[in-house]
Amino acid sequence: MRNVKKVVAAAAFILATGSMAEAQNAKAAAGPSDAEIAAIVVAANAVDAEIGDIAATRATDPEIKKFGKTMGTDHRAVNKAAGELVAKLKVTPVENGVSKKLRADGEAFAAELKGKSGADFDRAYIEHEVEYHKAVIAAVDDVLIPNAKNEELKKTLVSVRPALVAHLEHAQHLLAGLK
Amino acid sequence: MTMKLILAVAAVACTSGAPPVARRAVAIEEFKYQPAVIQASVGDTIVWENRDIVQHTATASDQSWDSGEINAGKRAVTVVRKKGEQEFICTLHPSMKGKLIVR
Repeated sequence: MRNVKKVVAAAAFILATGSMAEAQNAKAAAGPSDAEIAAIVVAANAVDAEIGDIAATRATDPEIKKFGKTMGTDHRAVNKAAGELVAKLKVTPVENGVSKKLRADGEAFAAELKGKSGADFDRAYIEHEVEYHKAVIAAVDDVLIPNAKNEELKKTLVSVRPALVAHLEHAQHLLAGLK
Repeated sequence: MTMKLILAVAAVACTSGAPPVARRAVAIEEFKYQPAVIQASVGDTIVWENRDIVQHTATASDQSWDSGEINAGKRAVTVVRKKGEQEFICTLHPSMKGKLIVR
């Protein structure tokens, strides 16, 4: 679970710097394309929506259960808007190392979460949400926004940021309230 | 006869000097209430307009009034019922806060 931050941070680093082989490739060194950014955004939202669904049904604390439900609805709403934007821009999201890693780690964490119950479940979920949102905000700020070439895509990323910050603050508040 | 009486009462009500009710528009945008501090009078209506892409609420901290969930791009109306100062939040995103000041 604590690997989430490391994974997203590593992904951000890879995106920002390119791998050793890619370092010689000017295109890769320039960062992700808009199509790759779109795939990363979709994956990041889908992962948190799906994990939120699990919490909405299995969390014990009613506030954490409600938070999980909100994550499901909010992140799906962001993906709906992202889908409409890429359709308008005629951009087809291109899966890449980061989007694939996000999905794989999301599935692994979902499996881990399903093995927990009660207070352990609540703590594991909400700690994950704090770290996940911190990491995604960092990736949005340091990699996705700076590399977005289309102005509408960049504007959408900027407009999504307050949602991520609100989610982070909410998760931090819930975590602080756990005994 | 009854109709005349009703009209007379209505006329008195209209000229009684009570302040006219007003519509107070509040935008919900980028996870903020704009304005975050609302000045109003009893009887005014507050029109919440959700300009974000996710649902929000505007809910009194003591639950005495609640806009309900406002879908993206939609509006909701709250009628101001009592004087005083009251904080409100979005129950879905509690870091969103505002204050209603009713004279």
